[in-house]
Amino acid sequence: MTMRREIILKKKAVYELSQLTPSLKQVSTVYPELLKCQVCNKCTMSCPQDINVMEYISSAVRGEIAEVADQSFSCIMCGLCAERCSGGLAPYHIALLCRRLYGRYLLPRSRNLSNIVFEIEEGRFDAELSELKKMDVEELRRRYNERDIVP
Amino acid sequence: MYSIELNESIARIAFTREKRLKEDYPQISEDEKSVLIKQNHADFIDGGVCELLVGPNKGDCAPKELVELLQGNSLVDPDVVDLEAVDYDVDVLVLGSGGAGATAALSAHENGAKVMLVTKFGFFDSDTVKFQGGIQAASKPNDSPVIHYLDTIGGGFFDNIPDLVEVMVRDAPSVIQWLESLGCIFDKEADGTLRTEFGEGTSRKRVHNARGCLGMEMMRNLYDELCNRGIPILEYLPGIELITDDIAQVAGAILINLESKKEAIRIRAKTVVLATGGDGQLHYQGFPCVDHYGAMADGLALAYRVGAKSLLLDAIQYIPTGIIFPEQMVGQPIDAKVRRLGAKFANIRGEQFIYHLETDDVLTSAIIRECTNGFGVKTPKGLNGIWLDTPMIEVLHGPGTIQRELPSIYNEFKTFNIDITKEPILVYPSHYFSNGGIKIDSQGATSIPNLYAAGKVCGGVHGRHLLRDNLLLDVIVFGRRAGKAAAERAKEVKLGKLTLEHIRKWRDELKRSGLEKRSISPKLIPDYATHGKVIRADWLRRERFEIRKEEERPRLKEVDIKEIEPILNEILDTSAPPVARARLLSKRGLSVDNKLDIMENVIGAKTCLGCGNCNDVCPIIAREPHRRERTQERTSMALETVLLAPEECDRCYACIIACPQVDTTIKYYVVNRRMIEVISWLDSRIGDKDEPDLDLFIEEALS
Repeated sequence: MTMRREIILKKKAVYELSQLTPSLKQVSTVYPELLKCQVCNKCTMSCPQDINVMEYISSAVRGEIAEVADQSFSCIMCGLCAERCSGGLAPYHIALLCRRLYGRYLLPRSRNLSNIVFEIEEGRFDAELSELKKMDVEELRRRYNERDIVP
Repeated sequence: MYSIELNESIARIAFTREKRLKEDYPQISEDEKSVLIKQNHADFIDGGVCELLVGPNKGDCAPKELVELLQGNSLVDPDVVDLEAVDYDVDVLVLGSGGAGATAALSAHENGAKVMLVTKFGFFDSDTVKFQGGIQAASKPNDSPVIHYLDTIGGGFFDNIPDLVEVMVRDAPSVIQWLESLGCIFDKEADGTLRTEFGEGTSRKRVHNARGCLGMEMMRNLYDELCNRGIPILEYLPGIELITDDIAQVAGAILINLESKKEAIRIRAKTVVLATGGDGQLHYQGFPCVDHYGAMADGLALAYRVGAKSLLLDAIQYIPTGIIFPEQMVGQPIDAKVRRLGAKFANIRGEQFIYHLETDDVLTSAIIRECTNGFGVKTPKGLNGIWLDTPMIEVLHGPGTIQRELPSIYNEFKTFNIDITKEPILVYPSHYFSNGGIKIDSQGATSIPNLYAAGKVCGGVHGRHLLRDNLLLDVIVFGRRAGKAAAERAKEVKLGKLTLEHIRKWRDELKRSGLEKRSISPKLIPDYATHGKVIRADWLRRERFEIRKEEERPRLKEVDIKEIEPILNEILDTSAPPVARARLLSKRGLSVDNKLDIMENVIGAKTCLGCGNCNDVCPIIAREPHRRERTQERTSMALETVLLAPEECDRCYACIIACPQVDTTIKYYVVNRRMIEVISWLDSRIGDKDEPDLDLFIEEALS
């Protein structure tokens, strides 16, 4: 039985995403060691996913959160970069924070999605759904086979 | 890279490619189809399915392997276990760390419960992580939950439970919103419109994705949130039995430490959420499977023993195109898109035997028929397969199509030196999904009070056929609902006295049916990994069952210094870098072998990892950096042979301390017994005129 290693090593910072703002200052207050990178490039060499880790850390230092999110997207959270880091950074956690900030604050939201959620809460589809639920199999099969498939 | 025999076969396939390109293989008629399926499909093979003789689903049919598991004996002896004291006391206990488990834990915490998440392997060892499909949700103006409902229930051959499907399609858009608020990055247009694709059996463009790795994207965000909220995640702790109380409610679980295999952990929980995942690794009828290494239907067995009803246990789904070569990828699915782009099948003679866009059932039957008739291609491991001719895509649509349209499959094969633009893929049907599972209501509650379930362990949502992109949706929707319901139930429930009475009842029931000599369940680890000896009998012997205190718990096996003291002293007195020989004396290494060899003694490899720590730490090399130019290697062998001559060694033992492969006992010994000697010896050399640079170095080190 083990607790996750990151929690024991205290490499992962604890934060409340809803309290943060997407800015450079934010990332470096959550992870102050970000500015201790020694540019040794061990992280990039250790990455099994061929991510250019040092490059995205440099983007993070410059405060380009969208860049970090894009470059680090195929990260599998194995933690090898943090293991090899001579400056004591945990690059994969820094990238995760940037991705979450990007996904929550910087990426524009779909208007259609909020419309449809509102409509469902309002109960617009209730009647149709309960009608379908009561339908017998033969009728349902007919409806299924007759449904229009939008190209 | 393909073997020589397979390369010969590939040459034959390339020879007939032109002919097959022109040939239009006819679709077979309905009558032929039903005959083909009846004769060959895995569902109709005699002895594949048998009847359950005991338990809540008595009389139902299920695959043989699953029946054996469900009718197994418990690992726990109820007479031995002391339930007066427990190790942890929580409100909600979540078993399993896949998508459903993580979501349930988060959702229960949101609703004010004290949560604990335990998992059999590591947190990221789950099927959700490697899921490459998308998630369905009606998010477009021309779409609605009603159409989603119709697609889903038709796809499941109308055997779905209507309540569950309704809840799922109704929650779908808000699930996308919730994931976005967690920070998931979905594929989007510049103005924020979600990018959607067609999926299997959808009548609208409804499948959302995140650059082809949505599962991973979701799991890492959920993981981060779990850590931020301080929810304890305990790893390598599989559940082996549920605890009930005297009024037949579920009241916790007994877990076993998979690392030491000796301690059992008792957790009292007001509610338990089972999210232990699928059952592919039971390998029904020997088929390869898509599922993760841990998918052993553990939760199903636990729930079955306390009396929770299951349903549709015989509804098993196969994917016709599972990879069969290379060995590391056996069972992994190949998307139907490959066939839609024009790749056709070919047997060992280079002939087509079926139209390549038939339904899954027909293709599965046809491939099995070819292989049993001796037209299959044998891999070096003795498995049979059929060629899926991917180079055809390049011929039909022009070079570069595969890299553009199927980047993930291309890259996966590329790591094994197989170029699928020039060489075909060897495929065989693979177990894809078991549609059956624990019966739940729309809040995730099972038929037993206080027991909730979510994810692949449940059944009924998808009827008899899963539409691939509904899987993630099911996992998240019911994970959230089960977590919420469990947290709310935990507020009002009053637990009685804890017992394991249900195990005694289960034993009696087995005895009455003459099944008491059946195997043990849950199995936890696939049979092929344990070479048959699934669980050791001494796991839960009386004396070992007592819970040990933290400091008494067994540590990793390390060498006892008393046994090796003389030889170690001799090594330390010899003038040569001692790291390699200290490693040789060690019992444990840090290599991957440790993780894979969990059922046996933890004895890792002792080879040099090549990490270079000993090279970096050596003071002689540090003083004379030009030595580094002698070689590129950073192993301990280089240190001993090329970088230093044996007599040059200062005997500072820094290399021993730095090596990750040396046991800590040896390191402690060196530090405790030898370091003072080393330092005083080095100290005496200060002021030596022959070694002026040593002064500076040692003064710095000593300060």
